[in-house]
Amino acid sequence: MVQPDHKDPQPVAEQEATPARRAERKALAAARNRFEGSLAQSFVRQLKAIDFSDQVMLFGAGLLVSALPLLILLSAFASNRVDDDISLRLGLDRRASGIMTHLFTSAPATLNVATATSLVFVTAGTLAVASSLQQIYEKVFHQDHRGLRGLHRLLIWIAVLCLVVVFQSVVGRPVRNLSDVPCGPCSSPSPS
Amino acid sequence: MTPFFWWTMHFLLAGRVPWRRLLPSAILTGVFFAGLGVFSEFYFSSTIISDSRTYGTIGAVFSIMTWFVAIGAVIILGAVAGATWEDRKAKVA
Repeated sequence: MVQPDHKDPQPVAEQEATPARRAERKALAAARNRFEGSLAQSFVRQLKAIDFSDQVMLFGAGLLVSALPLLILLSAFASNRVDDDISLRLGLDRRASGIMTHLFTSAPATLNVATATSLVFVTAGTLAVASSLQQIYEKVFHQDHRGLRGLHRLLIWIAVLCLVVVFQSVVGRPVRNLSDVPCGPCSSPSPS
Repeated sequence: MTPFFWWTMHFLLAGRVPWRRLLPSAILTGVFFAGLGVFSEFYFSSTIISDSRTYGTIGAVFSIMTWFVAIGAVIILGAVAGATWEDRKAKVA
């Protein structure tokens, strides 16, 4: 039987691309060798072990649904505006701060059943965020979870966090007010 | 923020990890937090304005949500980076 005189063009193309491919493979292998056992690999492995993306999203969502209402309630009871604090922390300019002010406009709160109930739920949510942070640290530093035995620590941590936030707001506000003061003739619009 | 995070780690871990081992994580969390502050100044003002223009008031909430997620990322990345550094140091020693 006579074999057809047919040549597949692919091996020729592969042969032509061989030096480029070889260089590519070499570079990849070198990069892989460099990555193997490196600090970066340990870092990535550790991030995978704690489910980084899930934890970040859950932590962010937890903060949104619990810490933010807590701040709003606290600010309402303290007759203190939370939008200023958030604007300060986000480093917002005047226009963006105006939007924040519009977002957080609220009347001073009075203590009734609904407020008390929401305060309880918000406190429970904040506890969940603190617990989530505790579990993240326990995973990162390879420690066992202590469960309810660590509850008092969460409560104390939340209290300290509130104090730190209030302290930063009190310290930060005069600085922000100073930066908002118009500087006389330089800030006034030109007459023409 | 570094002293606060240093104390937070030690306190929430009930003192089971020595202060010295937690220091790199606290420093890196503080550094990342400062980086987030700088990034916020350049990013969030324009984002809040454009989001609120596109989506209304809820647009500003999207930006706050992004900020909270970024805070979570900073806290976890700082802790993991410091712990990895400490583990590597312990292995080398």
